[in-house]
Amino acid sequence: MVEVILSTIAIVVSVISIIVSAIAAHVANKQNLRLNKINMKARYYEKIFDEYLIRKIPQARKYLRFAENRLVDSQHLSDVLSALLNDSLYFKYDDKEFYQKLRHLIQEIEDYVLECGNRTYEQEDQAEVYIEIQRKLEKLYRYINDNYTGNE
Amino acid sequence: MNKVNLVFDKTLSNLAGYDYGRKIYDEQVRGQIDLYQDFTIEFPEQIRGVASSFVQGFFANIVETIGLLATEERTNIISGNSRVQNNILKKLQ
Repeated sequence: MVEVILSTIAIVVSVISIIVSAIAAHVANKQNLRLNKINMKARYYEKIFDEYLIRKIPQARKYLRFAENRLVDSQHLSDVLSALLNDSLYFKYDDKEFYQKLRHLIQEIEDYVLECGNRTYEQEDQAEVYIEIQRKLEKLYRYINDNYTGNE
Repeated sequence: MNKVNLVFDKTLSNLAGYDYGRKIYDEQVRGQIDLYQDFTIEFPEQIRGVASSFVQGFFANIVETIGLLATEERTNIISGNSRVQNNILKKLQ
């Protein structure tokens, strides 16, 4: 009788061990797949965004200035942002939702800096324009970086 | 000649906005050129910057009619500003 009980317990424990091992293996496999996907995505992110975020956008932003109370020399930044949008087309097929919001953010900045060039700003309002451009660029950088780290 | 000279308010230096691009196309280009031949669009020298939103709105009907490839092949852009001339078609998507 005792032997039967012990044998049954042993079988039950074995079955439980097998189930737990199978679940652990499945979870580990899913984790690996996720990590591989993140690594692959990281490669594309770096390839597409690094040069723009680190060099091209900051350099183009430097040209912005006011002359005769109008924002001028904004076409550099506009052209760089358009080029970024073009180079981001990969995401149209990899992550459509990300791409659409990215497109919206990029074109919002482009339209703003160019439209600012069509009107005059008094001295006291010019600082506000620079602040708004800074705010929009920060929003763009944050969106790209948050999506890269998976915080989106 | 299969060409349109665009006209803008003298106060404008830059062009932006999808809807505005479509409006300019509808008012100044639609029906004025043969899209099935090479055609020329001239931007006045006052225009120094053109946003991708404007380009996409302006060319929307052309691309719908003849396709992106034919649009790129047949469109000739003239501008007194070389940056505008060289970059407009790059802003098509």
